[in-house]
Amino acid sequence: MSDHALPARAEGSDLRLAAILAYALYLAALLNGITALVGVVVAYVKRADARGTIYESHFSNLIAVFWVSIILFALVCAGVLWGALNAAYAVPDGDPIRLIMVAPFALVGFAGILVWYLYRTVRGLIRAIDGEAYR
Amino acid sequence: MADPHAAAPARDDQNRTMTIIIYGLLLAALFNGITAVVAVILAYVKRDDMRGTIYEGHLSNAIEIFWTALVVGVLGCVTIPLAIGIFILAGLYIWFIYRSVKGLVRAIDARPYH
Repeated sequence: MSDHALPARAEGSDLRLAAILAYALYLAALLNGITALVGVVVAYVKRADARGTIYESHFSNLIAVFWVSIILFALVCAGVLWGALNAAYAVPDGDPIRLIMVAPFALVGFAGILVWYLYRTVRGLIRAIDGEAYR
Repeated sequence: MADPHAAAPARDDQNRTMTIIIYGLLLAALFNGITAVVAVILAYVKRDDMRGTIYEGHLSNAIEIFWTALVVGVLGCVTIPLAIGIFILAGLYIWFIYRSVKGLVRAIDARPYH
């Protein structure tokens, strides 16, 4: 345990553990929001080490899931806000109660992001545990 | 197998462990603030011991994280009424996590910070 050049066999299991940890942090983020940031930093740091191995696909997946989720979330929020303001005030006698009209779209939008996020994360976690690439 | 170099790897292990603890304390400070002070004190105290090893850069990184977070944190708090403070604090938060987690991962792998 005191060998400080990483043994060859440890490289693969190191990367596998890092990928599993990052996926777990992504799942925990659904409860606390912040561990996804830690997870994506792990993914960025480990991706360089993983180049040429099957784990490279996992770290690329983790990074993609992070950014796409944020961008989609921002788009859905912006869309909902725009829709809500229009529904309430575009018509001259606009009644703020019409804000409720955006609720179904908001639900579908956010649920869609959540399902995609969970799919990419859980599928990746299982593949990483099985020692397989992400694709 | 008598290893004449047994002392060096053991010291290196200690350095690695201490470095990991320091990064852990920095990250824990996101929840309680005060462990960052413990972390930076440890870093200053251990800096001489680690001079010349790969962990020297890690301790410098930890010290830099602490002071930068303190100064920029105060700056961010003070400018909250000007609205820009929130963005400064958000940027600081992300930077803090990036530097700390990157360092932690590198230290766990027994590699320098670079």
